[in-house]
Amino acid sequence: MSFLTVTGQQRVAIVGWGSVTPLGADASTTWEAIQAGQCGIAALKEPWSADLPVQIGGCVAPSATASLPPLLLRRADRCAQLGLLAAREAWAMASTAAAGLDPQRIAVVLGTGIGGLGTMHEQHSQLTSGGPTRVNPLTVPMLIPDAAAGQVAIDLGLQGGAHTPVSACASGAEAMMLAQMLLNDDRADLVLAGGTEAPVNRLGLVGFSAMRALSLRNDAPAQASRPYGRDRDGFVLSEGAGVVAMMREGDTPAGAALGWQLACGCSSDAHHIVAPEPNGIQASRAIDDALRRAGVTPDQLCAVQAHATGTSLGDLAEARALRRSLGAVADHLPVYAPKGQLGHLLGGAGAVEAILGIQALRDGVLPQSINSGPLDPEVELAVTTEGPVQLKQSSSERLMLKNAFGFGGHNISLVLSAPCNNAAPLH
Amino acid sequence: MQVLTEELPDKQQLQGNLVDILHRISGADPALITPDARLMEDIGIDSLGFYEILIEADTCFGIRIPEEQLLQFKTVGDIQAHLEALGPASSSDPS
Repeated sequence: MSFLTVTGQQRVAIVGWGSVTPLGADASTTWEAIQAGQCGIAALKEPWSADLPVQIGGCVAPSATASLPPLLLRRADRCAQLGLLAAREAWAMASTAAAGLDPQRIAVVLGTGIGGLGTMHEQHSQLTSGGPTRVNPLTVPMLIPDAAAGQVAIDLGLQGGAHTPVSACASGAEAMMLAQMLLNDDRADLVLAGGTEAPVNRLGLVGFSAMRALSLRNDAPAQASRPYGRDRDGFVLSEGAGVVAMMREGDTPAGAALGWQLACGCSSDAHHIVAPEPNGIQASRAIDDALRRAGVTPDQLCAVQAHATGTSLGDLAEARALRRSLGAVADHLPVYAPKGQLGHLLGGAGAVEAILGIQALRDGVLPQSINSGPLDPEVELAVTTEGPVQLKQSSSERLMLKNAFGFGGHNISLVLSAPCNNAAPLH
Repeated sequence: MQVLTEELPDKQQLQGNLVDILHRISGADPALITPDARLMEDIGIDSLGFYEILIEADTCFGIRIPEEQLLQFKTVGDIQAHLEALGPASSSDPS
């Protein structure tokens, strides 16, 4: 049996997931830390950060990459390493559903905002300090944005195509949209889709800080990322990756679906390379497009997971877009802003957060939006500032809207759902 | 990363350092990195790995291997012989 959206497309089942984040080396640890109200942002202690204006970030624990072979640690940028770890976890979780599939019909869509920024920085330093003969011959294969997708395909032996959407902080969510398109176009039977990023280095911190995008709360790292908050002063740079394994619903073995992606909407601001269109008009169109394709009206949603990074302009544009699209439903529809705990994983954010979204739908509880209170009075949304919110159960499934936006004016919205299979939601 | 000191390492040290370098570049078991081992077939060094050898020799020993020479190497022993030949005798002060 398959569920067709209004555009005649099948929704896709999520049959596995993996994430590696500042809060945990896998998806379940990350979710547990989120529910416990932990924050993954900390002061950077490395000597290289000592002279930087921003000295905080969200870093993946060093032990997370211990399972990778030394050769890959040497020959792959951290961006690809984190993506590979998330993909391996998703692939292992999907193994039952994927049994018997032809590797030539399994694709990878792994986005990133930047790619191998650390490699670029290190090799440029080699060039300037040691001269042209000191530049590593693997510089280009390590820094190209598609390296992560390629490494996943190599590692798992997947030959159904490897793709890399690059749309800044929307990349991970855009990968999930492209995965659904590949599946519905019958170009693959299973797709590993998500995003990865490793920008917490001197060049990354200085680059974002020069454009005044980052929080300067060096003395209070755990309170620095304040999405939708009245006192927000920019986002916090983090690293990590998230990958989901997706299949057409009609092909998914019974009981294998952890949740579903009903449909995706997209638009572009065509406004400014960095600043969002202040009224969120095109962001609103992406939301409307996702809901229309999913055949869902705002009143059927039980939650929103916001992109909300903690910048003054971006948060207001998203808040206005949500108000425009959701209307009066926005008065009470609970909104969760995960970046207060995770920081901003850039291209890794969309997929990591979508996994958290499905986990929330499955468990029936939307976490507290840490640091979002007191809210900016111009944010007219029911942000979960006071504590976790138990999600309503209107049918056999719960539905969530999830946003992701990126520099360049990329707007992506996903409609996600999950079965209400937990009788006793968390508190 | 080992830094070149004023005195080049003796033969045994050089061999040990070379094994370390080739292990880092290829991921091969150090026990397999013997003088007779073939760089591509036995150790698994690919074409980019050859150019990594060039950088490592420069960084660790301060020895710049000419590219045309690099491409002649077949075995670990070939590299070792080349480095030894460029050791104290050839790279010492001209005086």
